[in-house]
Amino acid sequence: MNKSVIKEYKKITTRKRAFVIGSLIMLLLLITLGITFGSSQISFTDIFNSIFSGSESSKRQIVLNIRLPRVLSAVLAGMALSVSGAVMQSILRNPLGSPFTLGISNASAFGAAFAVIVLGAGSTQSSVFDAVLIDNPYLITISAFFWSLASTFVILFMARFKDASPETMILTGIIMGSLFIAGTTALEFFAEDVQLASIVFWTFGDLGRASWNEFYILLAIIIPALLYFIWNRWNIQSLNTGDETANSLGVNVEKTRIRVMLIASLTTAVAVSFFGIIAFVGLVVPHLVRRMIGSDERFLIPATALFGGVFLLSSDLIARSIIAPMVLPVGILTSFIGAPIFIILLIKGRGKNLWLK
Amino acid sequence: MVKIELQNLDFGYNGNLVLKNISHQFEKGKLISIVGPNGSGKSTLLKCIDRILKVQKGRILIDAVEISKFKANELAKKIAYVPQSEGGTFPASVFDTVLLGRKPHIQWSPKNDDLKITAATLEKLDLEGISQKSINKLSGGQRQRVFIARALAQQPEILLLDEPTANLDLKHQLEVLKLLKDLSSQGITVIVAIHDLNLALQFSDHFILLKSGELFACGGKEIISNHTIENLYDVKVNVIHNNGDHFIIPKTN
Repeated sequence: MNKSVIKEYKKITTRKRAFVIGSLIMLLLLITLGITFGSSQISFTDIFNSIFSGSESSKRQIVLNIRLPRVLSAVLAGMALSVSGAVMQSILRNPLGSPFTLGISNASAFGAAFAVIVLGAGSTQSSVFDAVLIDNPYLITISAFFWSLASTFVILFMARFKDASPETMILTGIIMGSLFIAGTTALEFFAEDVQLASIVFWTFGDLGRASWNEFYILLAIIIPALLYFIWNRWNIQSLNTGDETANSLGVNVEKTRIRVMLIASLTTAVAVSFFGIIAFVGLVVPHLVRRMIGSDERFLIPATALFGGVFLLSSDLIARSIIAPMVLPVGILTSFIGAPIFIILLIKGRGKNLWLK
Repeated sequence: MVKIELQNLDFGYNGNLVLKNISHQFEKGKLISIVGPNGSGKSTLLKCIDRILKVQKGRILIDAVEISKFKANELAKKIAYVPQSEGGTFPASVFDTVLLGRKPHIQWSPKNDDLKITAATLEKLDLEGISQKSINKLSGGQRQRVFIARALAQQPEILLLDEPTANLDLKHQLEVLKLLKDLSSQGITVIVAIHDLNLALQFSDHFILLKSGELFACGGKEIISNHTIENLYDVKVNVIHNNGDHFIIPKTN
């Protein structure tokens, strides 16, 4: 009997692993599609030649300087928002947890706007691509992170000291979000016209700004963050059972919760400071993945990361093609796609998944 | 041999002491019931023993080693705790829930031994038939067994349970206590905070009576008398002795 129980467990684990590998393959295919697709037709051979040969063709310029950074940044931003959402949901034991619903995205957007207007991280000369030229992406990220912490600490305070119900936490998040929207509006009121245009940019997500510079900063934050979450997957899993049980299982509850929240906030802040608020990714992707493979963090974390990349990259592909040659900001699209998906998930009952009997 | 020793424990919230100067020694391999009125500090005492709450004064020793000296994982291999209620927001399967009990032993990912121990624990608690069922779809009794199974998968020497029979029907109450009795006879020290005095009397080897955070009395069944129970709860009772068993009937008028 013992053997059959283990066999059944292994069978299900294999399926979860297959989902992770499937997401990876899907992501790689979409990356290739994302590079070939666009106003200038580029073939697979062109991509190969662009990356591996030294020729200075225009196609090489498009692949290396426009398509590749945009596609890879989309993947990383999708990963960042989805994984942050997944771990926030688990450690706060709150299905509505996500960078957006907890007010962290709005706080980051405020921080980015604050850096541009008050701290002078962007100069107001016009460039070809943007109204405001960003002189100092690090300062913007730091400011976004700093303000995202304000939201994070209020949420942690409510979770820890007020023993808040999931509803209270989400309401707090909505209040914090509104507060920071008000803050951003206040900055807009005092901003000059060109600055105003750049603040508006952060209120809806757009991947158009992606360059290698942003990609490297994203990479430097997201990869260690992802490794940290994976390293702590048993701790995060234990926290889902409740603080007391987690403690009894050998988890340092306070330390884990604060560290995971801080790292998830930092990850969100970096994505938001570069690309603006891309709503629903952090909420919908973890739920879709939970529905498909359950809430075992060992598989949930990598699968959510990969599937988050798939989700944002596909959304961006649609955003680039739906009213081509114009490009719709991806944040608008993720909301249009994410909101109905989330409603369907709610109607069909949360907490269910395809593997559990 | 002394397994757990409490020395002059004080614990309080915001300056109000919930536990006052508790000293006691628990014997190994016994089923010990902590009883007392609501708010007498039963759950708090259990949480202090498992370091979920940190005592403000006094010491807790396990085999003569103070619990603050243990690393979190090492303590989790010695003591397991089953809380009164637990509502995981994201349901896991029964197998995954019990496997989580192996967490203190798992380095990176579960080895075959961890899976075997999980499967054996499921079998022991008659849960193998529902190993892939979501814990949200189980009855109260089954869920309680799953949480006890997870604690057992930790392979602890000491098992603490807060109201393990609350919300269970009579049959499941008996099942759970029989199981705990079995475990204690296998050498595990089982300490339960429990309200049902009659159940406690049928299964426990030893009693700790708490009143307003103080140790009111302790000892075997012999300490349970009309006088002690009336003073502990401020109600009139009849303690009936029948073939070595004790039963407590409250007087309603």
